Amino acid sequence: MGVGAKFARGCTSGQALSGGALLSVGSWIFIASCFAAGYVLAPAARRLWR
Amino acid sequence: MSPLTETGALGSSGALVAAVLIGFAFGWFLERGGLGSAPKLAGQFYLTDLTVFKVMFSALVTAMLGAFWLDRLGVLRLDLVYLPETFVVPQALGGVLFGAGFLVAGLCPGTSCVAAAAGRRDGLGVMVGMLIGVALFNLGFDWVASIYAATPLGAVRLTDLVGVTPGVGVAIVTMLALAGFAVANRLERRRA
Repeated sequence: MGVGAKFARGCTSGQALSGGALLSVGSWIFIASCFAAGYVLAPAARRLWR
Repeated sequence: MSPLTETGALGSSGALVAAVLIGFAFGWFLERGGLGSAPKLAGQFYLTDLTVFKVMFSALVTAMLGAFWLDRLGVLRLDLVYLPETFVVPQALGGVLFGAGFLVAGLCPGTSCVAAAAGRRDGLGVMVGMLIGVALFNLGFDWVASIYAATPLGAVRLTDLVGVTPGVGVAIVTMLALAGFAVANRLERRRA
């Protein structure tokens, strides 16, 4: 997650919320790919949360 | 006139004090909202608890509408507010890595600090892991520098890309978020 935030130049707060509110294209790319990865990998990580 | 940090109205020490107060409030409300709990956050990815979506997008829409209208009313100079630059490939790649980490940790960087401060050991673990990741990235920066700087588009807004006025863009995002909240509530009720 640290590496991802470095590549994206920010995390949920700095990119998704702050940049997203300003409609920055890169922030919305980050939001989309973050949730996409989360949902695609969720079945594989199910054991962790049940 | 704001932004207060850009117009110098706060001074450098005033800006630091403001940052501490805002950080205090941010952490307080995240914890009070239940966002210091990893299982709750992970519920977002299993569609059992959509608090993450609702908090994220209500914060985003509030900030977006506030910035838009304060600019229109002449209180805020939106052109002075820092707009993050877009780098398509590293931000898509960063998002995938971040999303995978978010899913496994059940916390994001901000909420890991909240969880740690609330005495949850998993929060502390995520914080340490995240800092190690950042340190490794910096140590190996020469290897990833070309990816990091790839596909720059500059400081560009969705509204520029699509070719609509800022007002139309703000209205569309607001309506999409409201529709999203309605769907989220229905999903949660069905899974409850």
